[in-house]
Amino acid sequence: MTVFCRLLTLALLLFVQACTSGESGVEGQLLFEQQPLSQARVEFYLKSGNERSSSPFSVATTDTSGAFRATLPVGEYYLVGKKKEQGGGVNRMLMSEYPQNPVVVKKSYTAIKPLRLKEVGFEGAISADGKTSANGQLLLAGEALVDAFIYVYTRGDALTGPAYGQVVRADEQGRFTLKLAAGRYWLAARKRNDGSRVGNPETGDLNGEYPGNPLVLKAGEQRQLEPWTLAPVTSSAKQRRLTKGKFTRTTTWLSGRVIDEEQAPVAGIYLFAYRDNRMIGKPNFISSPTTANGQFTIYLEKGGEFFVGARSTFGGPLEPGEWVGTYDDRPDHGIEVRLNEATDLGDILVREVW
Amino acid sequence: MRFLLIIFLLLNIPTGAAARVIDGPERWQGEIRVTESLRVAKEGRLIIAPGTRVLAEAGIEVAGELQATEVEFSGRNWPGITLKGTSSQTWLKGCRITGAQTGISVIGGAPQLTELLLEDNRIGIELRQKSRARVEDSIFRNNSRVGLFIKDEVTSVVRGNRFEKQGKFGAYIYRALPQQFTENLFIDNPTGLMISHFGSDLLVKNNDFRNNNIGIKVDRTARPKIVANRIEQNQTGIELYRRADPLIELNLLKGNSRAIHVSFSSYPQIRHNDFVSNQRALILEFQSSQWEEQKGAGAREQQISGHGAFGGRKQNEITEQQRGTHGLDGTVDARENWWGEQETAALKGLGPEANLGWIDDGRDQPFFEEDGRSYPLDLVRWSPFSPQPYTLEVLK
Repeated sequence: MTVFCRLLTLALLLFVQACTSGESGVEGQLLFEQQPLSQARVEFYLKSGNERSSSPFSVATTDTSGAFRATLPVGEYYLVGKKKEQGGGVNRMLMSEYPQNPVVVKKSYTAIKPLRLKEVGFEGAISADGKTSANGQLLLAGEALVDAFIYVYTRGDALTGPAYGQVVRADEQGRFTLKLAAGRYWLAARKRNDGSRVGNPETGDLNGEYPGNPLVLKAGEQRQLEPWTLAPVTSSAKQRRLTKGKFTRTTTWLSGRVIDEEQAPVAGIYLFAYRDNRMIGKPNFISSPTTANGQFTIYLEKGGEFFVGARSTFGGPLEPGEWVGTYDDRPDHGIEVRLNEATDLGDILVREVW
Repeated sequence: MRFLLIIFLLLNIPTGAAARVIDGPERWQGEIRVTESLRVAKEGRLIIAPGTRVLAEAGIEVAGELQATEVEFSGRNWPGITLKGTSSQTWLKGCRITGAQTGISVIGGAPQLTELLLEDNRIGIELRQKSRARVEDSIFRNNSRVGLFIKDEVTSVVRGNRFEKQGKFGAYIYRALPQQFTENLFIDNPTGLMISHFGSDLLVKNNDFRNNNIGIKVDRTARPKIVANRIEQNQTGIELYRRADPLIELNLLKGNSRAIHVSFSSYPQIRHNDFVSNQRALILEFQSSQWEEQKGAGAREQQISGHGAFGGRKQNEITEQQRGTHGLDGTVDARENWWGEQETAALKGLGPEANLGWIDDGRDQPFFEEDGRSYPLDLVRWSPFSPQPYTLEVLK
C-alpha cells in the first residue's frame, strides 16, 4: 500500500508538472506612425503608476516586423513600449503605455492588440486629417532662415517646453508645412546655436511666436501663413523668462547649498524637485544653476512631498564628468514642504561620475 | 580702418571689461580683466593681439568670431571659453589657457585650435554637438580630470597633440567618431586614451603611448580600430573591458607589464602586432563565452536598469542586438602576431594548443567563479603565429 501511495503521489506530481510546464507570456506588435517598429523595448512591470518599480520585471525587444514575444509567469503585467531614436541631428523618444493595462497572462501566450508609440513631449498629440495644412516661411533680417524648428501647441498659455503637439523643421528656404486638422493652434519657432531641438533658448539663439497666433483652421483649409521673422534671444529676455514658468518666484521654496566631496561649493548645478518618488522624466520644479557659492533656490507652487536631486545637466543618461547627487536626509530623497514656507535643505553632496 | 578698434593699452593697472555683448569688431591688446560674463554675438568679431594677457574671472562665450594668437588666458576656477557653432574663421593659436573649469568648450561648429597649451584646468578642451573642430599640435598638461574630452558624435581632427600628466584621462572619447585621431603622444597619464560606449568606432592610428598606467582603455561596446601605434612601457598597454571588440592591428607593444588585458566579454581581433619584452603579452580575466551566452545580456540589462541620475532612469539607447556578441566559440582571436625573438624560437615544435608562458588564459586558469558557479575561461587562439615582426616598416 505504501508503495502504491508513493507511486500515486509521483504520478500526481508529474501530472501537475505537465500541466504547468507549458510556457506563458505576452506577444504582440509595436507600431509608430502606422509602421512596424523594430528594435524597440517592451517593458513589463508588476505595478502601475507611483507604485511602479524603477526596473521592469522583464524586457523584450521587437524584431524587424515590430513583433515581440515575452515569456512570463502567470500573472498581471503593466506593459510599456519604448524606443529612443537618434539620427539626423534629432533625438526623439517614442513611448506608450498599453491602454488595456494590466495584461493578464494565463497558461499560454496572451496576444495583445498592436501598441502604437507616440513621441514623448507630444502631450497634445495632433492627428492630421490629410486635407488641412498650413504653409509658411521663417525669416531672419529679411533672409530665409534654414533648419529652425516650428512647434505647434494646442494651448496658448505657455509656448515653451515639450508640451507641443507637433514639430517640423524648416527646409533650405526656411519653408515648412504643418499637417493639421481643423482646430485652434499656437505656433512658436526656435533655432538654437547648438542645433538642439529642445532645451531652454540661450542668449543668441533665435526665437519667436507666430504673429498671427492663434491660428484657427477649418477642415480642409490649406492656409498660407504670413511671413514670420525670428529674433535673437537677448540677455534681458532670457532673464525675464527665467522669472516665469518653473522659475516663477513663489512664497514656497527649498534652498540650500551644493558641495563636492571636499566640502567645496559647486557652481552650475541644477536642482530638480519631483512629485514622483521614482525621480524620472520631467521634474516638476527646477532651480536656476547654483551660484559660485553653490547656493540654490527651487520655487514651488504648492506644499506637499517632493523628492530632490541635483545634476549638472538636463535629461538623458549620465555622462562621464557629470555631477550628480540627491537630498539624503531621507533614504528616498524626499522632504515634506509646507505651503508658504521656506525650507532649508542644508548641504547637498554631489559627486563626479566617470 | 573699417574696424572700430577698442584698444586697451595698459601700463600696470588692469582694466575691467564690463559685462556686455560684443556685436561688432573689437580688438584687445595688453592686459584685460574679464570680471563678468562676456559674449561675442553672431555678428561680433573679437581679435586678441599676440602677447595679450586675459585675466578671467568669468566666462567668454563666442557665437561670432574669435581670433587669438599667442594670448594667455588665466584665472582661478573660471568657466573658460565657450565656442558655440563657430566657423573655421574662429581660431586660437599658440595660446595658453589655465585655471579654467573647461579651458575651451566647443559646441558644434568647426573652430581651429592649434599649438595651444592647456594646463591646470579641470578639463582642457571639450568638444561636443557634432563639432568638426581641429585640435592640432597642442599640449595638454596637468588638467585635473581630462585633457581632451570628445562627445556627442563629434567628427573632429585630433592630430599631433601631447597629453601629459592629466588627473584621470589624457583624452576621453565618449560616443564620438573623430575623423582623424593620429600622431598624438600620451605620456604619464592614469589612462592615456579612453574610448567608451557604442558608436565610438574611430581609427586610432600612429599614436604613441608611453609610461601610462593604462595606455588605451576600450569600454562598453566601443569598437575602435587601433592600428600602427607604439605602446611602450605602460602598466597595461591596452585594456579591454565590458564588451569591447576593437581591431588591434600592426601595433608595437613593447616593455609593458601587461601588453593587452581582455576582460568581461570582450572579443577583439588581435593580429599582425609585435609583442616585444612585455612581462605578459596577453591576459584574459573574467572572460568566458559560456558566461556571456548565459548571463551577458541579463547582466547588461541589470547594469543599465536603475543606473539613472537619481536611480530610476533607463539608458536603453542601444539594443542588446548591438551590444551582444555573435558566434562565440570560447576563444579570443590573436592569430598571426609576432611574439618576440625568444618567444618565436620557443614556439617551434609546439602545437596550437600549447600553453604559452606569456599568455594567461583558460590553459592557466580553467575556470572562474561567480555566484557559486564556475565558468570556463576562454582560450587565446595564437596559432598560426608570424615568424617575423610586422611593425618595423610601419612604425619607421
